[in-house]
Amino acid sequence: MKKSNKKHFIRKNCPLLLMVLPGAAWLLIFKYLPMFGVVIAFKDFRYYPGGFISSMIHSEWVGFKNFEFLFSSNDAYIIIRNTVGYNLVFIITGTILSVAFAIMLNEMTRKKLSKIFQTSMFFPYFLSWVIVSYFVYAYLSSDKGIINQMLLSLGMDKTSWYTQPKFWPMILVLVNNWKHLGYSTVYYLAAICSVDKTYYESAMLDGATKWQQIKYITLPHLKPMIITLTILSIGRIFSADFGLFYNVPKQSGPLFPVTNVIDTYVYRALMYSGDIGMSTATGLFQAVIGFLLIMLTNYIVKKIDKDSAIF
Amino acid sequence: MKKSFLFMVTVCFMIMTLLVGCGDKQASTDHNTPAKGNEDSSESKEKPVKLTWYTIGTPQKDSDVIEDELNKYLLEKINATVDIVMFDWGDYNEKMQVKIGSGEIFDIMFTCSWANDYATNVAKGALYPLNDLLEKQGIEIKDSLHPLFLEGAAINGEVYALPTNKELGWQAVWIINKDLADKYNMNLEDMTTLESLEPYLEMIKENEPDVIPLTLDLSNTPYVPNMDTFFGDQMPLAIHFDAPSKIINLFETDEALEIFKTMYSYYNKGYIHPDAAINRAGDYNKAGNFFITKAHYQPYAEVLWENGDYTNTNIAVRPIHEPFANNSSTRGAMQGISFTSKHPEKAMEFLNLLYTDPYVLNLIDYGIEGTHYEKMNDFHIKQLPRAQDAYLFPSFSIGNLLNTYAYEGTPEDKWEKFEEFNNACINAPSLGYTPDLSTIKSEMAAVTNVAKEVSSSLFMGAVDPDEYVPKAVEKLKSAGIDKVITELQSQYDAWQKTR
Repeated sequence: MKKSNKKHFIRKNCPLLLMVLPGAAWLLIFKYLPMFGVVIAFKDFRYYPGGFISSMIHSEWVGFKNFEFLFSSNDAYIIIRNTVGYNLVFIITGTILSVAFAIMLNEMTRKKLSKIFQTSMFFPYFLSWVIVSYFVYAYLSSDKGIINQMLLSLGMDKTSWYTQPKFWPMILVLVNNWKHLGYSTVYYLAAICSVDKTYYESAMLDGATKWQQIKYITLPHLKPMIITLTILSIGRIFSADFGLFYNVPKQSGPLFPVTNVIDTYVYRALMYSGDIGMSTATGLFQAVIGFLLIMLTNYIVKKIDKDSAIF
Repeated sequence: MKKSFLFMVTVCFMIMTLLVGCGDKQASTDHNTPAKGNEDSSESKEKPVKLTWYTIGTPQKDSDVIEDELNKYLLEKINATVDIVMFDWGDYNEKMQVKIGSGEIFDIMFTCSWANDYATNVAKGALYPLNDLLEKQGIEIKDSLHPLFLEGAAINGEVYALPTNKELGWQAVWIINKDLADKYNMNLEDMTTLESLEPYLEMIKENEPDVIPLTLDLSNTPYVPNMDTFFGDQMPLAIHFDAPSKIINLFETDEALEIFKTMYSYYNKGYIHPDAAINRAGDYNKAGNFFITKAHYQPYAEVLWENGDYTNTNIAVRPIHEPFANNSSTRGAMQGISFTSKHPEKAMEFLNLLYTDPYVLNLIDYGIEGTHYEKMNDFHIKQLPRAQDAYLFPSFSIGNLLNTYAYEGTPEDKWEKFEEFNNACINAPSLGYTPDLSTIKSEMAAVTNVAKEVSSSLFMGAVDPDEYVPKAVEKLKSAGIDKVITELQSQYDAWQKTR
């Protein structure tokens, strides 16, 4: 590469480079710089004079000891099954529902109405899980809950919702989708809007039905988006949404077999010891597995369809 | 082309990092100035030391005003000033973890058994050992504190933080809705154990459909008689008062089984809220829709309660057991010195004033006389409206309660009653024993999870104990509670020998 070329490149792209700068700086300072902190996962962290870095250096190496608690208990199987299982269901149902809703919103002829729907679907996304947990409680409370009142008025018996694990997988999937649907629909709605309208026009001229248009034009255009978002969410498959699993079941003990996930388990486990090493170990474990899974999924996607892979 | 791009980005980052680094350095040198100045000008008048103090409570509008007033006094008295920084109740724990973890230089911090955990801080080396300082700068503190306080605060013989001089022990009491008790002509003297409440609960259940007869909840579980649950109510580890040399699994005791059975029958008879295991009962108490609930007592607590959480009813109080002191009661509120402090001696001098100088203590607790309160006599004060708006401080968190004023209406002999109460306290067997969990971390993690899973439904009577207790015990065993007990037992034996 010639020198003049280099200069030219920088001059030409200067505004773009400046635009990248804040984001890149943020990424470096908050995502890459703290990364060397993962060594804490292999240390018995104690405080030493001279600040965090010196504490980190002086703390004793303990190898993989901090990871043991995740796998040694009998609950290890349950929490990993719950975490991965729920996340898979969330990815599948979430994708199907948000694609379906995006198409439906797009097909609505009265744009004002579709905006109203879109906004009201978006609203739950901004609620904190603590507030959502009270919404759910209003439905499921034993004595005054809406559902139990309905059951009573139909002449059926009340149910103690917070002690019956069998209902909770469904409740959690429902609540999670209700909260996140509006947000993920926006992605797909944006992707649909960018599809060239002439496709639809020529399809209509050829006599394609609405269903055929969706099947042969919209969905293929959405495919890259679906694949990218799915690969990215598979990267977080070992990390559960703490707020959902901690607040919504109101920490009810009998529900633990279906609501305890890695994040809530670790939170409860470290309440007494407050061990930074063990919580770092968990985070590192989740990140490494997530990274491997992203690589694997991407590899598989690449094998099947080269253009759809992210890298 | 690619290379040059990378190069430029790297340069940008380096500049940014440098800038960030510089900013940091400047801030930290600022922080250190008083310390350096102190050494330099020692031949002339010593430069005053600035102490930074992190403590718990909702930040108040007028705290600067109080700080200025306090610092005028402290400059003369101990040639120091204090910067009081308050963090709100919910934030305190997290904020302090960051402050301590980052090695920030500060002097004094609030630490206790329920926030910014004392034992963990000691284990991690965050607190400055105080035995020597107590002998020099803090000798008066030792005189003013009940000796069991320091015994409870000591870990391996070393005190790392100073407990507030307040009620020393736990005593669980029933709080009874007196309006209802009078209406049905009940004899309060009969209400002692959980079982003894049955006929009264039944009467209320039949006649007062809107009232929840017994408002216990997951954070307020029934008291298991004769058990020192030295790890807190949520963990099934206990020591029996009559067999004080042995650590046992609470769920395997007859005492606990009795409580579970009683609660199960109360649950089925509808005496407690059906969602008690996931809910808080505070709202029912506040609204007056309760008949009996449980709380921890201190002398004349009923006066505080009637003005606070039980404004809609008259209440009566009946003790459930004799008061006893254990680690969580003696470590309920403490002030410690940070291991990063540059002036531990000065910090101790200041802490000493909190225990011995009523002016300093009352200034921090109640604000400025004439602005935030008015003195009625030597003991009673009247709160002025400004205090409600701009200055309320949690007085239990610092110093010597026995040196503070009290609001009007408080009985004159309140502090005498405190001393009586403290002298009546017996030691729990575990008082002063601090478990070292470093070798049983994995087991503790598993046991904590199982305990959370099983205890609330057992304690709230939501499940049949005959069927569920053996299951719970089995679960605890497979989580490794036996190893935990064996390890704690050997530590406990060793600790008992050193006493």
